[in-house]
Amino acid sequence: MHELSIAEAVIKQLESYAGTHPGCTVKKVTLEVGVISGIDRSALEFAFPLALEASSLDKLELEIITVPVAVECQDCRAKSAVDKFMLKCASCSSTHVKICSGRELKIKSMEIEEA
Amino acid sequence: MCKNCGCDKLHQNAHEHRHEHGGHYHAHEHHHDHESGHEHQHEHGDHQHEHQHPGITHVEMALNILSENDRIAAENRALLKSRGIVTVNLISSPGSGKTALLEKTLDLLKGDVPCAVIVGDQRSDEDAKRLRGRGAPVTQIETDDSCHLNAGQVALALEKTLQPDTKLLFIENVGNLVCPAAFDLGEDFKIALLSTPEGEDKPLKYPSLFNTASAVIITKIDLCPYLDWDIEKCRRYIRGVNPEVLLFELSSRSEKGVNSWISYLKTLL
Repeated sequence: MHELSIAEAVIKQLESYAGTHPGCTVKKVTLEVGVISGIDRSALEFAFPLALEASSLDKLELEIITVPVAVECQDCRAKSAVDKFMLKCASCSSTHVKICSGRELKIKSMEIEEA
Repeated sequence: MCKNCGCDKLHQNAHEHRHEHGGHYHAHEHHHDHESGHEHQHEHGDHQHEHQHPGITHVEMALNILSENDRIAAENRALLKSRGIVTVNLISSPGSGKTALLEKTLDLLKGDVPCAVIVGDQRSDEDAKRLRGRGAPVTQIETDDSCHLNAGQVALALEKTLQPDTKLLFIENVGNLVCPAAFDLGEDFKIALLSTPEGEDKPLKYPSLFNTASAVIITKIDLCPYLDWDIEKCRRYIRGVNPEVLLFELSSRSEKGVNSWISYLKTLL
C-alpha cells in the first residue's frame, strides 16, 4: 500500500542526483527489494511510472532485484535460506537466528547518460 | 566483504563507484582498488561478457530508499533521548484495539508516569477525542491518503505534544499491518498488536511487522470463548517469525493481563 511513497522516495533521490550532476540523464535505476521489506513488487512497478510522471525526470527503466530471506544461526553459525517465513536454522533447527538479508529497500545502482 | 560490489573491502554507504563505458565492448571482470568514501573510477580489461552502452555510465548507489525518513527519525530519536523520553510505536490492523489499550494505559499511569500521545489516522480526530482527558497531551495527525505515519509528521507533532515532564511517549500509528513497519519514526520500541478476531495466522501472513516488533500484544482475549481461537497456535506463529519476542495477552475491556503490560512499560523508563 505504501509503494507509491516508496516510488516517490526513489524518484526524489534520483532528482537530487540529477540536480547535483548537471547534464546527466538517468536512464535506468536498479532497486534491491527484500522479500520481507513489506513491498509488493507489482504494486511498486505500477506506482513507479505514475510517480515518474509527476516528477522532473524523463521516462526511465526500473529494474527490481528481489532479495530472499536468509538467516545466520547464532548457535551453529550456519547461514541458510528461509523458505516459508519461519525463522529456523536449516542446519541445526535452532530458532536462535539472525536475519542477514530479506529486509532490503535500497537503490542499488543507476545508469546515467552524460550530455 | 563489500555487499555493494562483491569485492573484499568494506565500503561505506552512499559513496559513488562508477566506471565508464565509452561505447566499447567490455567484460565484467572488475579488478579495482578501493579508497574510502569517495567517487572513483576503474577500467574494464578482459573481454568476456559483452554488451554495448554508448555514453552510458553505471553508478553504484547502495542508498536506502527511505534514507530521508531515516535521517529525520534519527533526529527525533536524538531529541527524545536528550529529554529522557521513552517512545513506543504501536502498530496493528485497524480495529485491533490500539486506542482502547491506550485509554486503559493512560488511566492506569495517570499521576504516576507523565505520558504524551501522538495518534495517526487518515481522517478525523475520533481517536484524539477518546484519549483526551486522561492526563496526557494528545496530538492527532491526519495523514489524508497515506497509510502510515512518517518521521517528518512526527517531528512536527513532537514540538506541540511534549511537555517539560514527559517521560513516556506513545505513537499510535495508522491502522495497517504492513506499511507502518517500514517507516522508522524515531521510536525506541515497535509494538505490534493482534486481536483474537483477526485469526492466529496473521504473524505468518504479515511477517514484516511481527518480525521487527520488540513485543507483541494479543488483545481482546475476553472474546476467546466466542471464537475458534487457538492460543498455542498463535504463540507458535509469533515465535516462528520472531523467536525471542516478548508476548502479552490481555483484554483492555476486562483488564485481564493489563497489569503485566503496565509493569513492562515501567521497566522501560
